[in-house]
Amino acid sequence: MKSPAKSNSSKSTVDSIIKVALVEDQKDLCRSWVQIIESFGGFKCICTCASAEEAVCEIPNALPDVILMDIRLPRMSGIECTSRLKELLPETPIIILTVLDDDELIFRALEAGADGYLLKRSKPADLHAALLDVLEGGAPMTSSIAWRVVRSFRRPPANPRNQAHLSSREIEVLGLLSRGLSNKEIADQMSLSVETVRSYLKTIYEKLHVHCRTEAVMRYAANRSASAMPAPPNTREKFTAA
Amino acid sequence: MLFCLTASIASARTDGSSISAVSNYPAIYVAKPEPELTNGLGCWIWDSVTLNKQTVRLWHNFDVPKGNPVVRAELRIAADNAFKVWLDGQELGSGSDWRTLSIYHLEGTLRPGLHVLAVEGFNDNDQAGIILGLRLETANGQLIRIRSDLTWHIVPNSDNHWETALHPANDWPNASVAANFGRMPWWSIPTSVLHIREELPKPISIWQNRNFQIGLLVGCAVFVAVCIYLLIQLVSQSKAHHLVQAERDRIARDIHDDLGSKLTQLLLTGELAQIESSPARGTPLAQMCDGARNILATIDEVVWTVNSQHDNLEDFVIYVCKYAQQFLESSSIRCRFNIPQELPTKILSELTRRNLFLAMKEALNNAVKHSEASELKVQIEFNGSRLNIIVVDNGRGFDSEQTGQNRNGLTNMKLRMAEIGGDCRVVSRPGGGCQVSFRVPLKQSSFFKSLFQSRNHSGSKARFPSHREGVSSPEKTIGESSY
Repeated sequence: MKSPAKSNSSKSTVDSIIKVALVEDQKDLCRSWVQIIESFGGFKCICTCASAEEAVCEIPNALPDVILMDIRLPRMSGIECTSRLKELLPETPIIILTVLDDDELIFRALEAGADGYLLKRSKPADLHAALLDVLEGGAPMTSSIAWRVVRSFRRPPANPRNQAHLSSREIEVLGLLSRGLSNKEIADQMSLSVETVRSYLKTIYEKLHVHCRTEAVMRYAANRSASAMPAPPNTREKFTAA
Repeated sequence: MLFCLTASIASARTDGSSISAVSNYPAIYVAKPEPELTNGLGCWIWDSVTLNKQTVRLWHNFDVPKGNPVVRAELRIAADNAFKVWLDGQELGSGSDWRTLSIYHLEGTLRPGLHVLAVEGFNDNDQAGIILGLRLETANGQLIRIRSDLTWHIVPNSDNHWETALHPANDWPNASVAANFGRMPWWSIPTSVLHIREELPKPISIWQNRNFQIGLLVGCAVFVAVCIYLLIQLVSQSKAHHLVQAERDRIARDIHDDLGSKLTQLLLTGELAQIESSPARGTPLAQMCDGARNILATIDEVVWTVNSQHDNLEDFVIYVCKYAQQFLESSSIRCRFNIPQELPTKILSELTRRNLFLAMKEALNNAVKHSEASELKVQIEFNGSRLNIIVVDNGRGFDSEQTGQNRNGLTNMKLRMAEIGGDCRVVSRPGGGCQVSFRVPLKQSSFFKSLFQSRNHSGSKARFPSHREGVSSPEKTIGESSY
């Protein structure tokens, strides 16, 4: 709840250069990603991590504007890493990178708090577009993901205390999406602007994250950060902010 | 005569106790032997030679006619010095006093058929003989008498199971007469009479029958054996099932980890080279990148098909819809879905998934190539145990009657559906779009299969559990998910 101001201020101070953090365990791929991202102009890779453990440790200090996260990492997975980073940096968007177009895997990452996903084989232009989109608060959603979201909300929440309900408008958006309509078509049909549809999707993702979040993961994350890291991330955050 | 009578009473009393100790049958003593007791007795018979300490076996068979039940049967027997008597191999009793006539009451034991009377006599010393008479009275008053006479056979002492033999052997000589009834040295009226009434044998229940018991035991053993066999089959089958699944998952993982990442690396290098040289579109470098992209997409399909995690209806439906949307994205055709929100939990085998998916692909391909449609609808519905997938476009269509169902693409779809026991129908008319319906029978997910499925799911919850390590040690992963 304190991050928005912070991230806005950081963006403005570094001449609107967008800071990207990258979590990718394969060195060659990591190098290529950095080169591609920096070729866009206005983007800078300020932090690359070869493992989820390293990411949980380093990224809260680096304070990037956006995080690119490989889903398949040794030991701790990208999904769990996403979940922990979301607790530490709730406002920083995370884009999942995946080799495999595995719907369920992607959906689990979205449940964990990811804001979007991208296949690694996507064109650089698509990556550029996705980065810009997510920074503007966009939330890409395909029909199959929409279908899964609806199903996920039919199940009871992972933790009864985290009750999240979709509004009737949100359900309508999801329904149209799962029938194959694009954001623009949905906007036309519901007499809304595309922006509003996008904001609905963003809210849906946030609610999904709340709906699927468990207290246990948070406690575990807190314990891990207290014991395994040199200093608790919160104090470090304060330290760097000062 | 008076003396004789008193003597017989005394002897009956003194001998009685010793005899009843030998015999298992309840005995009744008759104080005064009556003359008619000796009616029906034969003569004293023995082997042709008489020796001291000699054992002689006497054998005789007789027939009880059918349809004429025996109402009264009495066997009277005496021996000098001792006897033991069997009827049909069952011992009736024995006696060791030549002056006592033993009377066995055999009503109820003699059923129609062939019977065997066997007597073993023992001579201590001097003269020896056995005298007996069997008197049967049937319901219609017929009398059957068997007496000790020359028709009896002497059985050699070396023969076994002679008391149950139904027919005499060739080397069994006939008995000899030691003395006629009433001749010296033996009595004409026995000094005492011993009545032995056999307790009526209880009717044997079927489960008490030995053959039945053996049969039952054998039956049980066979049943248990069959059960064990089936259980072993089941276990080995489920083991094989797990091994196949584990192997499929390993292949999927290997393709993903090795091929997928290396190709991605290649693609990124190509993209970087493109960025650095900034060539115009359509150059070989861009073509190479597109080629790599296509291969990666194909790998995606292969991994999805091979991965046993997706052997279910829900994953199939989601995948097909996603594929359709992505496939039609580059075309001018809008894609619409009509899918029930609740999909039944069904197992879809790899074979079914693959064939159904490839048939779908064919249908989508045809639509993009030939239909000139603006919208394509994928409709999925369940009709009992059938899965129906209907692909409808609003394109220019063709005359399905005239074109026949034999166009190449259609033949392919039909073959694919036939392989999984389903069928494919194409209905179209010029200007009226085209409707392709696939119908596949769905198997009910049985208890065992769902058991396997759930075990399999819990076994590899984290999809590709280990990262690089998983590739280097496939044995480990097989072990993990199969047991």
